[in-house]
This record gives sequence, structure tokens and C-alpha cells, in this order.
Amino acid sequence: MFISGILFSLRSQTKHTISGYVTEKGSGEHLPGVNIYIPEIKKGTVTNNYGFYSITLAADSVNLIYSFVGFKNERRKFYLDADKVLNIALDVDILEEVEITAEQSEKISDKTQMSTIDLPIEQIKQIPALLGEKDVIKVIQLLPGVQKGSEGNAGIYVRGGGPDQNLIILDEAPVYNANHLFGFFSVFNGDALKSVELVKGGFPARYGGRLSSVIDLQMKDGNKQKFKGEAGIGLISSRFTLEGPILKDKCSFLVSGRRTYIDALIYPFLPKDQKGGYFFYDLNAKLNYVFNEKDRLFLSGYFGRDKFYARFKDVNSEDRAGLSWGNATATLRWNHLFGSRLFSNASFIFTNYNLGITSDTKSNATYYNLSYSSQIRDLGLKYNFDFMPGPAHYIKFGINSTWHHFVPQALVIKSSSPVENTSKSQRPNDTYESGLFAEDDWTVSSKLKMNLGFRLSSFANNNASFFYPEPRAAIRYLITPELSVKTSYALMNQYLHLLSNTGIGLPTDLWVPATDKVKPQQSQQVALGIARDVNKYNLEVTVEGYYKWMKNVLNYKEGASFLQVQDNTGSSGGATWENNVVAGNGLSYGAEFLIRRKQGKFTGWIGYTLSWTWLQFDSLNFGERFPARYDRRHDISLVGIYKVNDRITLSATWVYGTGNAITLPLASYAVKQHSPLLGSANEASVYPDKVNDYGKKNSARMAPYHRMDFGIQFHKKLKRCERTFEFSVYNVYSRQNPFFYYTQYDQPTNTNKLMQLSLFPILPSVSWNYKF
Amino acid sequence: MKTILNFLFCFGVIGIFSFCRKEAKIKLKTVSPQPVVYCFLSPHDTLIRLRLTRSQPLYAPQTTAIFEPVPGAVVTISGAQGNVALNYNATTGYYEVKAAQFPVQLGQRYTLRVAMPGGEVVTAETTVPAHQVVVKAASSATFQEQNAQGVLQTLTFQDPAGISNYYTVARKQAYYMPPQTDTLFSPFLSGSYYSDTNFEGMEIELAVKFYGGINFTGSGTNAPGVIYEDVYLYNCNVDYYKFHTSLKNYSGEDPFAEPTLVYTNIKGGLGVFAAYTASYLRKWM
Repeated sequence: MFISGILFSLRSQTKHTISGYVTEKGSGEHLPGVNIYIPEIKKGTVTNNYGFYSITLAADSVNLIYSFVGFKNERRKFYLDADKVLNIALDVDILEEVEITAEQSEKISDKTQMSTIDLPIEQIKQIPALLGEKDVIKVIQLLPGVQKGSEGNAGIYVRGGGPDQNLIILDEAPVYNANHLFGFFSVFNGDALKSVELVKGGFPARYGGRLSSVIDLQMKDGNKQKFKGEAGIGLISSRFTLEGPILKDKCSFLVSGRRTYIDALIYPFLPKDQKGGYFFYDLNAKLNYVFNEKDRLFLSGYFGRDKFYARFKDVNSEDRAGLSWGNATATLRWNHLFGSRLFSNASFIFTNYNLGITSDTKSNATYYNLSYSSQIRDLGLKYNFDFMPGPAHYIKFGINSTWHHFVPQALVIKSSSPVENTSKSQRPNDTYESGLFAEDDWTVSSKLKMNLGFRLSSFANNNASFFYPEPRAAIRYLITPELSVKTSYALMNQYLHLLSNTGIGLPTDLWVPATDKVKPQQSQQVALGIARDVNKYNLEVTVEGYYKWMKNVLNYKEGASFLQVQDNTGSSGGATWENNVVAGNGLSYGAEFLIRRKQGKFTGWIGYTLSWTWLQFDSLNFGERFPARYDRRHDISLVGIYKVNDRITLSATWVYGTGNAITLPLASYAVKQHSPLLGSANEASVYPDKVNDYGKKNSARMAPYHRMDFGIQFHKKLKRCERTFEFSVYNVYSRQNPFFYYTQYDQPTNTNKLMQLSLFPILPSVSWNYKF
Repeated sequence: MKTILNFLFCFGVIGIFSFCRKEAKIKLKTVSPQPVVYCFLSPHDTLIRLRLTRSQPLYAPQTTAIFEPVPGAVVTISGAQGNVALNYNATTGYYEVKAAQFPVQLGQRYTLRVAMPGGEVVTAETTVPAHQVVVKAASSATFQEQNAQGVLQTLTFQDPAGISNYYTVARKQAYYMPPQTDTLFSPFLSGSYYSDTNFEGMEIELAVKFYGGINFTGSGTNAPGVIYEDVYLYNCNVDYYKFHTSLKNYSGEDPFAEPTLVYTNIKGGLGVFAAYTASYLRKWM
């Protein structure tokens, strides 16, 4: 029906196309998500991820308004009598309070898509953070519908999904482990980022491969007009970013790096024969080249690593141990315009995540070397198109294919004692994941808009292949110009699983593919909500309810460990991890409320989530459903940023969340294993002789989590640069939030006590930032 | 390696950041001592016995009473052939009845009822496996690993088709120590439990490691003399399998591991009421 409608609209009148790129004035940086609006006919479009737009209109007088949060509006008036290329540069808005009129910026009530939140990078940089380390993922944790794992942890749980169900893409390359330091920091350096968008439901058909969310991060292209830099010194790390033109307005670059220095600071104080430490670093780089109006090339990459190391040495022996993990990504993209209405992007994507553990012992003539590793590596191709036949349709379609190479576990032991020599590895597994999609953002009438999409996804392993259709739909109906009701449906399949002992996102978690024994995860989600713009106060208000079913969610069997490495020749006849996991179902439902102000002297948001998340595994909790660890009934976040004047910015956050569901011991009792051969008494002193009764799984609740952070930034314009000094306080009122609980025997009272361990009391920090 | 990893993790989490401890103030489910019952039925046993104790709330004064048997309960087992009462034996601390009075039968379902001295009643049901799976062939050899040695026992048997089966293995050596001529026994339980999930109805060859077990060998006048060795195959029911595997996976109070719930099929209490059949193959030396 819409195809015939599109063809009819193309034939019926003389039409012309206005197209071009929208960039930031002064840097040439492409701006995605800019609203282009024609008030007279109440129609418009938005720029895509590369800042490109195209709108086809009947020959007539045209009044175009370009608007984007944080930038001054641009207007163009002319008579449209031929196709026109119109590149626009938007100037940063220094005015603090601008009332957004109904005709200008794209409003939340107008968008078809629901459950989607974009985060301005500048706002992220103003929100106080742990030890002053600005962190995109930590800010995403402050949004409704998103829960964090535990204190300080960067793992995220979106609408009841696990941390493996989030597709985190940096310039289209998936990042398999987005954590530094066991999750206390994320791998994303805000200085190198241009935009961040979170999609937690109503997924457009262009996204696939994960059940619960998409976090789409775009790196800056690099300033095309002049050299710019940014440097920062914090308590635990320093950062440096440099960008500039190689050929003005044609070719530019960006390089950004970050490294911690705890290891370097403590190194001189360690005894000579006992050295150890930890560090992480990130390196982002991007190069882009504009061949002509039709062709552009982008090459971007990320490389980051965490490393723990220890060395003990004496006269006769030397012991070394190390744990390291890291991601590497690279994306080569080619934008090409087939005329003014068809934009294409071809991407070649590489990503790699690996973990390594080493332990070497040398003593005189004897030695013992252990090496453990696991890895996932992807090579992918994508070819996507944006087709804009007229103001009523915005069609996206494309194809992608990814080769995943897994080495789930490999263990090699070399020893001077030959009996200890071991070489166990699970056979590397090569799998192929593909997707074919089409979606149309269709303006049916002035009130009704819908995004209908369809995705065909497939996955092939050595011994299994899967092929699933994935329908997607999002509908928006305008009740008044500022109030709309929205609904969406999405079916998602996930062919990769993350095996986790702890569920908190450790680097030791294993990525494994779906196989004939372990089926892909699948979810279906429906959502219903309202969106309201309050233009007078620049406010967006959304209320959404959702219901999500998940199946084939994986968990390790109780007691199974990632260290149990067996090779493929074992009697089990297959890869061991498949025998160490159990599959179950999940159910999540709830409601989310968000009131948000993105522009003005005072910005921020209030978010509230009411949710339930249940899991059911036949072999866990005696087959009964149980609340997920991250099931959180209430979750509140308040974020406020107040720009006092050009020199001072104040910011504060407060979060509250119902405690995690955990399993705690309630009683102890004697245990008798069956010991048939051990004498007529059938008794044996076997271990354990006493166990704990935990009741039902996850039947206890940790204490509620709440915390306030505060930050103040002092900006000063110096001769050649702008300096920002920031003082921030994490956990202002030093709330002892529980990290975990344990039981401790108390001798004087002859009873056990339940103890809690907290990580971070009040933590002040300072940092300096220079922009030049 | 696990030690290294734990060390590195603790160093990372606790060593770098300051932390604080305090007594937790959270609401926990109030529990009272519950009956704990263990009873394993087999058609081959000459005695049916049941152990009855009580659990102890963890956050109350601690005693060793959890290991003390509870006398005075009324214990009955019922099946297709009727009911039988188990009487408390103060010497052994078990409730017992001779199997001759109530022969346990293959494939039968049994119900247990325990009425505690205070009036509390717990119940459980279990079904005896329908087959006695026999060991067709067996062999053993010693093995040596890093810091460990033992016996690798191999055995072959036919898995009954059409039903879920669970297995565990044990071995026993009968020997004498010269100059004594008394027969001594060296029994070992494998502690490993197997499901036929991927081997349904197949002839299965199991290779089971008995850590710490040794084959008595040697020469000289004082060397031990092995008379025979037996390999036992137990065909367990699902309650037996779930209870022992959950116990094997029991992680204690490791704060970094998900706690393991020990399986119970006792309604109103804890413990297990399970069943098994057994067979063995003897090799004379």
C-alpha cells in the first residue's frame, strides 16, 4: 500500500528536492538529528547520522527552518523551481533561555519513535562522576528504564534485560566489553564522542542482534577548519584530544587518548622484588575525507586495554601473574549519494575482544607457565540506504553480514614436570550472522505517523542455522500539537550469549554463539505511552508502559565456572560450555516517567521507573520463577545542571533504587550424603557436613541504594585556551550503599551477624580541563 | 589459577578503593527450626533407615544441635504394598525397619510421612528406578596429575531407553596387609553424577577419576595383597541426582559466587527422600 502511495506521490505533481549536509559552524562537524521544518505545510525531515537531509516538495515558495538543540535556528526562504543543494552551518547558541516554539525544533510528541533518548555530550560532561571520570554509560544509568548493576558498576540492565542484551556500537562497530576496571568505568572517552543515543524499545528494523537496547555512539569527525585540542588531568587519569584539518574543509583527523597512572605513582614505593599494579588506556582515532559532494570516506578506530600485573622475585625464584583484557574496533565507511534522494553508506567493520590470564613461576631448574585466553573477533560488511521520496516517507533499507570468530576458552600449561603439561582448548568456532531490513517512517496524516519495518535475520553455525523474521512497528497519533500517544512492537533475536558467573560484567565472562543445543535468545516487547511537549518551559514529558517476554535466556549451571576448560575430545562429545549452561525464560514489565529539559540555564531531568523482572529456569530455584538480581521496583533519578553565568556551572544528581534481589542464608542444617559403601552405618564424614538454607532464590533484598553527587565547574577564558576547573563530590552524604553481604560469627553473643560491605564513602575529586 | 584470579579481583576491588563494613540492617525472612530428613531407598538394602534432625536459624544463638538426631517422631513409609513404621534406634540415631518387613520394589512410588514430636508433619514422595543397570565391563588404571593422583575407572553399561536415567559410580578394593590376614576394604565414592541426557538409550562408557584412591600394588613380604576389586554402578532417581549435584555444586559463602540452593523434596522441611538401584562387577586378583 505504501509503495503505491509513494509512486503516486512521485508522479502526481512537479516536485523538486532540497538536499545537503548540516554542519557545525566553525568546525564543519556533521550534525545528526537536526530538524528541518516547513511551517506552512507542517512537514519536515531530520538529518541522518552523517548530517545529510533530503526533502522533496512541490514547486512553490519555501520557508525552511533548521533547528537543533544548543544551536541557533537557521532560516532559508526561496522559490523552489529546481532541485537544490543547500548545505547549512549552524552556529552554537550562546543564549541561555530560548522558548522553543511549536513550529521549530522537532518535538518529542512529534517523533514516531518511542523509548529513545539522546544525550547531548556537553550535558554528559557537566554531570558529576566518580573520581571525576566522565562516563557516558554512568549517565545512561540515570535514565528511566535503565538500571545499574551494583555500586560503581558500569553494567546496564535495560527493561529487565541482562548486560549482554545491549548492543553497544561505536561508529557501527560493536563493543563486546565496555568496561574498564571490572566495570567501575566505561571504555568511552567523552572527548572523542559526538552523539549518544539509547533505544530501549520499539526498535527500528535497522537494529538487530540484541534483545534489550541499542546504545549508538558516534565519534566526532575532527575539525575541518582549524586545529583544536582538549586536555584533562584528573585524579586517576589524564586525557588528551587533538583534531584538525589535514586539507581544509576536505580532510580532517581526530586523535584522543586516555591513561590511568596509579601504577606509575605507586611503582617507586614498591619493594624492588615485589612489583605490581594496574592501568588502563584508550585510544580513539578518526580520519575523514570529502572527495566531492557525493562521496565521503571515514576511517575510525578504538583501541583500549586493562592490565593487572604482579611480579615477586627472590634469589632462587620468580613469580609473575597478569590479567589483561581489551577491545579493538575499526570502521571504514563510504558515503555515496545516488542523486539527491538516495543516500548510501557502505561500512567495513572490525571488532575484537580478548582476555588473557598468565602465571609464570620459575624456581632454579623448575618452571610452571600457565596461559588462559578467550576471544571474539568480528569482521562485518554493511550496506545501508536512506531513500527520501517525499515528505511523507523516509525509507531506510540495507543488508549486513558479520563473521564471528570465537575462541571461548584456551588453556596451556607448560611445566618442567611433563605430567603437568596441559593444552586444552575449545575448537575455534566460526559463525555468520546476516540481516536484511527495510523500514519506512511514514507520515500518514497530520496526526498519524508510523514507522513500519521488517528485518530478516539469520545465523549459521557449523551444526545449526537459524532464520527468523522480525516485524517492527511504531505508531504515533497526535492528540493535540503538543501531546501524542505512541505504541510500538518489536521482535528481536540474539544469536550471541554472554556466560557470566556473577552477572556483573566481569572481563572473564565468555561470549559464545547459538548452537544446535543452545538456541538464540528471543524477545517480544510491546510499549504504550504518551509524549507531551511543554514549550513554555522547554520541557519534554514522557510516560511509557512496557511488557517484554524473553526466551532462551542463558545462565551458568549452579557451581559451573569459566575455569572449567575441557577440550572437544572429552566424553561429552562437544564444547564444554554448552553442558555448563541452562536456558530459561524472562518476563519484564513496568512503567517509566521522564520529564526533561535539554536547553536553558537550568537543564536536567527527573526519571522514575516502576518495574518487575522475573526469570524462570527449570534447573534453578527448583523450577519456580524468581526475581532477577536487578529486579528493581522503584528507581528514581534527579539530574540538574545550572549555569550560573559564563564562569560557573553547578550540577547535582540524586539517585534512589530498590535494593537488588539477592539470596541470603537463613538457617543452617546438617547434611547426609548417601554413602553406600562406607560401612553398614551408611555414614561418612563427607564434605560439606553442614549447609545453609537460603529459602527461595533471590528472596531477600539489599538495602535501598541512594546517593547524591555534586559538582561545580569554574570556566575561565585564557589568552589561547579555555580552562575548566572542576571540583566534584561523589556520594555527598556518604551513604553506605551495600556492595555485598556476608555472614560473620560473633563470638561474644554466639550468634551470626549479617554484615554489609560498602565501597565508596564520600569521595571528593578535582580535575582540570583545557580547551585550545 | 582460581587463586590468582581471586587475588587480582580482590586487589582490584578492595585494594584500590577504600571500603567500610557494618552490620546490615535489612529485613530477613523469619525462620524457625525445620525438620531435616534423609532417607535413601533401594531394593538391595537390608535395612531402611531415616535420619531426622532440625535446622537452626542462622541469626540466633548457635549450637551443635543441628547434628543431633530428633527422637520421638512417628515415621511411616507407604507404597503399593501398604505402610510400614520406622522405629527410632537410639544407638545409631536412625529411624529403622528391616527391609524384609517392607521390600522396596523396582519402579514403585513411595510416600514418606514424618510427624514431629511437636505435631509438625512433613511429607515427601519418591519413585524407585525401574531398572537395575548392570556393569558390562570395567577396567582401572592409576593416573598422576599436578598435586593429585588416583585411579581412573572405566566401565561400560547399557542405558535403558525411553526414560531419564541418572548414575553415580563407586569402587571398592578388598585386600590384606601381611603379616595380618584379615580382609580389609578400601571404598571410594566418585562424587560424580551423570545424566543420560545426551546418551539416551546408548551403550555408555564412563571414565571416572577417583582422586586420592590408589590401587594396592607392590612387592615384598609386607606388600599389601589385593583380593578383589568391585566397581559399583548406581542407577539413581531424579531426587537422588538433584540432591547430590546441588550438594556438589554447593558454593558455601563465597561472596563472589551465586549461592547454590541444596535440593529438597521434603514438603514442610529440608533434606531428601530418594531412591536408587545398584549393581557391581567384581574382578578377582
